[in-house]
This record gives sequence, C-alpha cells and structure tokens, in this order.
Amino acid sequence: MTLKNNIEIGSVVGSNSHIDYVGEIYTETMRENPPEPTDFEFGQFVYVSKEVQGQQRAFVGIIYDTQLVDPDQGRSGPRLAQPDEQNIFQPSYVDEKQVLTGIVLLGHAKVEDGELVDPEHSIPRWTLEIDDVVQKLSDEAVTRFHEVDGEVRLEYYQRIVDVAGGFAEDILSQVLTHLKQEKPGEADALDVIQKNLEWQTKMGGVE
Amino acid sequence: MVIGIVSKPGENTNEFVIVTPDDTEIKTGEFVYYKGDVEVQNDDGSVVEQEKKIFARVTGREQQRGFPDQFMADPGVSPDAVARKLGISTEGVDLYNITATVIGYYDEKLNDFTNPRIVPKPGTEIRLASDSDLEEYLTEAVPEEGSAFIGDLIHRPPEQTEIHLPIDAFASTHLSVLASTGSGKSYTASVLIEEMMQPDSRAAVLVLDPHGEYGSLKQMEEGEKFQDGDYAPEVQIKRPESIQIRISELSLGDLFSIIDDPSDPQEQVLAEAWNQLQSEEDDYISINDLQNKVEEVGDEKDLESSARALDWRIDKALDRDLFDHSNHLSLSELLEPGQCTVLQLDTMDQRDQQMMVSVLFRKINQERVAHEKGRESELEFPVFGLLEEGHRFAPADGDARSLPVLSTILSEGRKFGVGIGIISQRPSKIDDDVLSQCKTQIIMQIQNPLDQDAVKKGVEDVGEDLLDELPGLTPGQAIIAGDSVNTPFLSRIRNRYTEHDAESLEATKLWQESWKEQQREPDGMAEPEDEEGASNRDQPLD
Repeated sequence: MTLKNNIEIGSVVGSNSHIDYVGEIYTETMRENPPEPTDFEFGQFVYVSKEVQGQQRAFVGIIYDTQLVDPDQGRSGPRLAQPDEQNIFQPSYVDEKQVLTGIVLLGHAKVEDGELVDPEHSIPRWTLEIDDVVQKLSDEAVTRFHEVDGEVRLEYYQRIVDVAGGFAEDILSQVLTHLKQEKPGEADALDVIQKNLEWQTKMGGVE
Repeated sequence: MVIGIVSKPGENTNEFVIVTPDDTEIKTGEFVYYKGDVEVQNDDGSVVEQEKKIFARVTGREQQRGFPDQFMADPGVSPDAVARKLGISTEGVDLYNITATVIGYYDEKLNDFTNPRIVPKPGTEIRLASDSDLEEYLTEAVPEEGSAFIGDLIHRPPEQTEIHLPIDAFASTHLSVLASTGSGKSYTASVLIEEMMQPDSRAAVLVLDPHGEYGSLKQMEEGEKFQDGDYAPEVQIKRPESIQIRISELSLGDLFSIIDDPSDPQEQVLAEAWNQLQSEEDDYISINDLQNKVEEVGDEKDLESSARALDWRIDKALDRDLFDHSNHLSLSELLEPGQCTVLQLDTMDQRDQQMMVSVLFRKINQERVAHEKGRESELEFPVFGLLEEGHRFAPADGDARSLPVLSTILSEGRKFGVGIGIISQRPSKIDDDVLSQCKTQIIMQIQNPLDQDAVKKGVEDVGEDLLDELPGLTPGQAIIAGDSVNTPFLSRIRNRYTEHDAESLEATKLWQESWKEQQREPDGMAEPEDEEGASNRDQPLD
C-alpha cells in the first residue's frame, strides 16, 4: 500500500514546460497539518494521482529546485499595524509568502490497489493541471518506480540533466545511492553511471 | 544484400566511405560492389552506356558511433547493461565508417577490371560481392584447365569459395612466396607443385630443397587426384650424395669463385688453360687435365710459379665429391613433363648449393634458348624451378655464384619458357631486381619490419591497406597479388593432398624420450646391495 496515506505537500500552480512544473507547498493557512521541510526537500520524489481514460495513474516527478517568494521583500514603506497584528489586518499578505518547488516529471505508472504498476520513464502524453495535489512518494514506491522490465533503470536520466542543469548531479547522485542500497545486485552498473556523472559534472567545471 | 550506403568520397582518388550499421560481414580486404552506368564499346565500335557492377575493396573500418568509454569503466559490467539503465537502446548502436577503394568493373573484352575513374555518389547502395562473381573475376583461371586451385577467400566462410590461379601466368612470369618461418611457405609451395603435377598441367618442375622439406611430394605418385588414364606424376628425390657437377660444365666465373684467392697472374694462367680446354670441346675434363693444362700454359707464358701455386688450389677446389669429370645431373634425367624432381641439398655447403644452382640453371637456360632459336636442345618444353631459401641463391649483397644466372632467367626467362619460383623468409635479403621480376606474389605473415619494407618496395600493385595486414596474418593465410590475378586479394591456402614434412620438432617430447633412454643405458651397473658379497661386506676381515 505504497500510495496510501502519503503526505500531501502542495499543489501545482504553473509550469515552464510539459515536464517542468511549479508546485506551491502548503502552509499552515492552507492545511491543518502542513508538510514538514523534510517532506519537500531537494531531490524528493513526488507524484500526482490522476485518472486518465478511466485508469488511475500516478505522474511521478522529483523536486529539483525550490524558490521562496516574499512579496514584502524590498517594500520599505511604513505599516499601519504592528508586526504581531499583521495577521489580523493583512491576512492576504501573509498568504502571499510562498515556497515554490520546481518539479520535473520523470514518468508515470498505473495505480492498482495503491501500488505502482508498469512504470514507464517516458514523457507522459497527458499534462498535469493547476491545483492538482502533489504528494510525497514513499521510498518503497521510489524503488518500485525504477523497476522497469525486471531491472533497475533511470531512463529519465537525460531529462533531469536538461531541466535541472547544475543541480542534476546532486539529484541523480542521491537517486543512485538510494537505488544502490535497495538493489545491491545492480550496484555495479549503477556505480558506473554514478562515477561517470560525477566525473562529467565535476571535471566539466575544472576543464 | 545491401550492406551500407555511400556517405562521401574518401581522402584518396578512387576511395569512398560507406556507412554501415553492422560490421560482422565487412572485413578489411572484403569485396563489395555498387551498380553504375559506364560507357563501353560495342563490337561494332559504337559507345553505349551500360549498367555494370563496379567492384571495390574494403580498405579500412572505423567506428563512428558506439557506447562511450565511460560505460566500460567496470570490467564486470557490460556497456549494454549501463546503456539499458539509462534507457538507451542497445541494438543498432554501433555505426561504422568503412573505407573502400574502387577496383572497377569487369571488362569481358580485356578480361580484367577497368576503373571507371569516378567514385559512387553519396546515397549509393553498396552490396557484398557474390562468391561466384569473385571466383570468376579475381583470376583468369578456368578450373581443371591448367589452373592451380590455391584455396579460398579469407573473408568468406571456409571452402565457400574456390580460387584458382592460372599456372601459365605464374610459371612464365615467375613467382615469389614470401613469409616468415612457420607461416606456411613450403606448404604453399607444395600446394602449387601439387597443382602443377595434376593431369591438367603435367609440368616439368625442379625443386631446390635445402632443408629436405619436399620429400613427401613422392605421395603424389600414388594419389588419386593425380592419376588420369596412363598419367601419374613421377617424383624423383635426389639426395646430396647423388648430386654431382661435371667439371666441364663450370664456367670460368664459377671456377674463379671456387679457387682460393688467386693472384692476377694465376687468374691469367687459369683463364687461358680453361679456354683452351673448352675449345677442345671435351665434355670430360678431369682435375688432372686442368692441372696439366695449367702447367702447360704456365710454361708457355713463363708463369711457372703461378702455375705451381694454382696446382694445389685446383686440387683444393675441385677434389671433392661434388665435382666429377664425367658424372653430372643430366637435364633429360631431371626434367620431364609430368615429373617433379626434388634436389635435397640439406647436407651441402651453401657455396656448393649456389654453385649447383648456377651450373644447373645456366644449362637449363642455354638449352631453352637453343630450343626457342630452333637449335638442337635437350629441353623442348618449358620448365619451372622452385628455389627454397631464395635469398641464398639471389642475395641482396650479390655474393652468390647463382645470382647472375638467376637475374638473367628472371628478366628474360619468360621468352624462353623458364619459370622461377623464389621462396624466402627474408625478402630484405633478396636482390631487389630478382624480387621485382617475380610477377606473381604470394605473401604470407611477415613481422620483421625490414622484410615488410622489402615487400613494399618489391611488390608493385599491392595496396598499403593489404600490406598492413602482413603482421596479422595467421599461418596459411596469404595475400596473392601480381600478374596472375586481376586484383590482389587475401586467401586461405587449401589443405595439401600430400602430407607435410616441415613440421617443427617436438622438442619437449624428444627431450623426454632421450632422457628416459639415457636412464636405461647404464645396464652394466648394479645397485650396491646387489653386488656380489654385499651381504657380508660389513663383517670384520679376519
């Protein structure tokens, strides 16, 4: 039951492309139990559950970026209220402080009985929509998402590199380390990929 | 089957580049073709365009696309496994650029390839040449009609092709078999002899065999392949003991070369004496005759001391088993159509071997010239002589009695029907002219760089691409080039019908046997306990 009782961490509020979405993290004004910072950390796998053509599907992505938005930043004019009372007098202002996350879509899978089935690392044909709820994907489900045709795969590899740019190495490295622990039988091949990634990223900066 | 597409012209004229997804079929030296329109002349003289298969030889191959080296960082992980994890297809990944050189289309009138002098356009489909086309076009030989079945093409499956060489061509324009030790030169030469002795050729072959490797050719006499009605080849093996040179058949030059360091006056006396003896037209000159004549001339010319000094020198030079006043190798005994004579020279001194070759081939040449000029002759048919260790008889440093006569035969022999086959593992030690006069070349594995250079210089029409293969050839594989073939190719020499004699000794086996033999030898010795009186030898003497 990997997709049950998962924490809802936010909702989709926009996108930069078909695979690059912006999510807004829930705050305490939106949810009674807002997510903890560890729930939407850098490199966290997330998913959006949607029904497509009568079939429940999970669109799996990963948080590759975070931006803090504070509309008050740089506004130097005087306030009528004391800071403590601002919540009462200017509730919308407080609402506007946002944590936005960049989510790159990695693939999709069918959901059957709360489990990911037949994961595919291709770009989904269907788009997410505004207000779709983004949920945290459990470690167990992360591993499941990477089992394609009986072996561990990261077919989305290049897409992360393209979208996340300089952050890609850290994200992929985290994923690879996780998968190496979960699937020791395939650790050697994953290690080749990880070392190559490190070499390219780090040497790319030196050369 | 289309195996690739032309992508662009190559660096050199006649060269073009093919892109192919799969390299399994295409090896260096392989033949491919494309179809193109060429202008050909009709029988009535009109020029028409005709679609022809234009053949090309693959000269190089390099990978254009493949998995990066980084995928191979862990020897325990295949690059395929890494690629699969990254969602990269593992099939059809490798892409090769193949370089090919145009040979041309086969011109039925010329019986040779004609180069259209234009490379195919990008996008042209390239196909693998068929076995039957290659069998037909690579050489002009017709099976069973004076041809030598030499083997098959190296880049095709074993025995799928049959390559025949025209015996007429290499027997008249000479042949060289060049290869380092152990790569199969004498094997190849034996295959050629086997072919020449078959009923469709019945050649007159003389083999100079300094190592005694050709004895097993005797089996041809019984071999089924060699029989046809009344015909069966005759193989004569001559041992050094039975090989003699008649003194009167020596030339003055031969004589000078074996006389120990003669002074000018001595040479003068000897020359005069020899000329006088020759003019007497005596076929039987003994050592005594020569010594007497030298004395006579010495007296006449007032050079008695020189004559005396020559006396013992003549003795030393000629008083040996090799020379005789009457016995000799008669050409009619040595050379007959349908007969292969093997002169085994293994115990003969190298200088004597050279002398033998010099005397023998001079005589052969003289008789053949006489025949062609319409004079009486012992040899009314062409002959083919095969010289193993060719560098001994035609050395680059010129220090051999046999060199001048071989040079003469190699440059003029084709007119008079004397063919020479030079076999050697040291092409760099063979006289340049001799090597370049051998118009058919069978070149096998050669690793020595000096020898490789010699082959490159001496062999004209073999491309660099093929010569680059030389160090990598395995025993039994050969490049065949020259006048007998329409274009050079790589071939696998066929198995011999007769057994092969020249295998290396099995040293470890022989050592073991010899050691055991020695252990058994001391029969006369006994263990101390077995000696008489051993039982009571420790008793005190009374």
